[in-house]
Amino acid sequence: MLNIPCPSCGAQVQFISKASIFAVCTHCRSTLLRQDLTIQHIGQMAVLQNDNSPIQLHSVGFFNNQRFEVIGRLQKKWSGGSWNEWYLYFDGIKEGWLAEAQGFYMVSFKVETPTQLPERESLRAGQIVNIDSTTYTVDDIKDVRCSFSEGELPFQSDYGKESRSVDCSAPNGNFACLDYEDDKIKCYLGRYQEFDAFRFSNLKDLDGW
Amino acid sequence: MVGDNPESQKPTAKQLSCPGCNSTIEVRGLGQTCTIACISCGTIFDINDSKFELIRALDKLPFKPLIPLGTRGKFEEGVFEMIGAMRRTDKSGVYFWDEYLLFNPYKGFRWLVENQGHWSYVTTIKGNPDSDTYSVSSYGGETFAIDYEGEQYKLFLKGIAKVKYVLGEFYWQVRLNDQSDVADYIAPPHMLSMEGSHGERVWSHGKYLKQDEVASIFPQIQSFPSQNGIAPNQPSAIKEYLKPVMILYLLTVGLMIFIQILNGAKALNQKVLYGENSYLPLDTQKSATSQRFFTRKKANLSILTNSAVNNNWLDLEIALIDTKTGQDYEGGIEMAYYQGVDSDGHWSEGSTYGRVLFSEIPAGEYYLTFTPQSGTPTLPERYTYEVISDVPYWGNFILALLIISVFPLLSWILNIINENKRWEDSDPHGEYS
Repeated sequence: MLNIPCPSCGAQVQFISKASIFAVCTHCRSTLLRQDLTIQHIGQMAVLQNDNSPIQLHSVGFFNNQRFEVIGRLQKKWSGGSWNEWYLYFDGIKEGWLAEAQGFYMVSFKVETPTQLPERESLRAGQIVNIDSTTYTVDDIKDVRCSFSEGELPFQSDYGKESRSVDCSAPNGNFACLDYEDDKIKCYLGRYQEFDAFRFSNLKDLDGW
Repeated sequence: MVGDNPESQKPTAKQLSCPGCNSTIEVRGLGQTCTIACISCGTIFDINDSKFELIRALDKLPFKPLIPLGTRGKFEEGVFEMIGAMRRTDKSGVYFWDEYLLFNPYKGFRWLVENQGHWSYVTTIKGNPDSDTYSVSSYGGETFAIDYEGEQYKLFLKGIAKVKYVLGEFYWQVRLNDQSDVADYIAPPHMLSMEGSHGERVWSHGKYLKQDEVASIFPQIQSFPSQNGIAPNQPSAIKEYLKPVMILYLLTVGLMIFIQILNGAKALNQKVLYGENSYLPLDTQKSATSQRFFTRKKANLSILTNSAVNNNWLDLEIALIDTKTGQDYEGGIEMAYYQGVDSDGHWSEGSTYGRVLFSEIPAGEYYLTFTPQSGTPTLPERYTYEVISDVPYWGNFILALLIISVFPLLSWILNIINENKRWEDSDPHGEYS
């Protein structure tokens, strides 16, 4: 765990994971880039649109019986709405992502981008995609823009950056997400899990619930 | 458990002004819904980016949902709030059903569907149950059955669903007259439904709810629509108990057959007497007496007679007399045989054999008396008789079998009638749905 003072306002900025290189200062919302022990002010983060999500920074949960802490957030926006991608820290072992949309929760981990993925423009819902000897079907394709970041992240926030996000599923709740950016494709593999199975603690209080 | 109490303080949710009528609208699915149809005037507008683009204004409120918007109900999964109501029609435009959108910020969205008075609780699922990686039965490119979570779902109908009216909030940009292809597969009480539009397909899983279950979840419902016919995924009480009844029935029949065979094997089949009598037709009422015979155990006594009657009849009154006690048992045999030739050829009727069975005859010494009576007096007739002690008897067994078969047979027939009724409205080729 690193604590480095924010170059803008002097407040302590926490880096829980060694892999995090980007953070948003909780006090002044400055966006900061870390190189070893120095951090650089690179911009300002917009105000978060309240989306009534029960998950918040430092919420704790379990995936496959492994404990994780939520340490960052990306909010992805598309023409029909938005969803959250929470950055998870699994007790020093690895980092993962929790996608939260319309009551569906899926945890996935970045893997090496497989070869022979469909071309960006040829993607269609219902298409078959083979990754790692598993057959996935494309569920939906959304053109998204990263609209907000919070906490710490392992890459420079793609704030404002656009990409084509492709959700795929396979039997037994398996899930894959392909992120088609301008110059590269990122691949995440994981599974859906029911809300109750996460055994969340430190959730945000939801007014009226 | 979070979000468990339907009586929780209502949220101070974000409030908006309707661009159509300016009334205040409470946003219940804040952050997750994107389109609202005003409950006061029916105007539909999208709420993303805080820009309220008016999509469609209506003159009057299109329909009154059974469950008031904002009502919370406690389901097995947790508490859900009714935030949207949608009425859709099929191809005809006349047949309609209602879908109520339920929301819980932790669990997400569910649907409560009311169709002809029948209710289902529906959850959107991820994945494609009809892809090659699941177990699917198809013919000619059409999937007619899907194996999902241990059950087989059969195709019930294919059709279209068109949005007729909407009220409240929705998580997609719903518009009036939006149309999608639908396919329903059933495994009562469950249903798998596919909905497709613009190349995208969404699957959901539904479970039939009885009217009283819905009434206890939403006591606010004033009156329920009457139930029409049998819903595709309505569980059948008959079907549920038919299987155990049939198993029990077959086991019982098996046991009965086993016992009967055992009894048959124990029968002595002891031939105790064989004799022959002749009689003059004019000597009616003249009895003949048999020799004496012994029986070893208390059992039935079978007397089989045979007489070469031809277009004639012979009746025998038989008395079985115990030599020691003088007890007499009475029985009778009728033998009649007729034959001839007519335009269709040779015909015959009746039998030259006759048999009487005396039951529970104690062991002892007996003799028989025969008193004949016959039809048209002709030549002297003869008859033979054979007496056997302890023969296997099937009469009781057959009677018992018939009696115990009544209920299973009835249940089986009723089940077939019920299932036929269920499948009456099925439309797997999308002809009229």
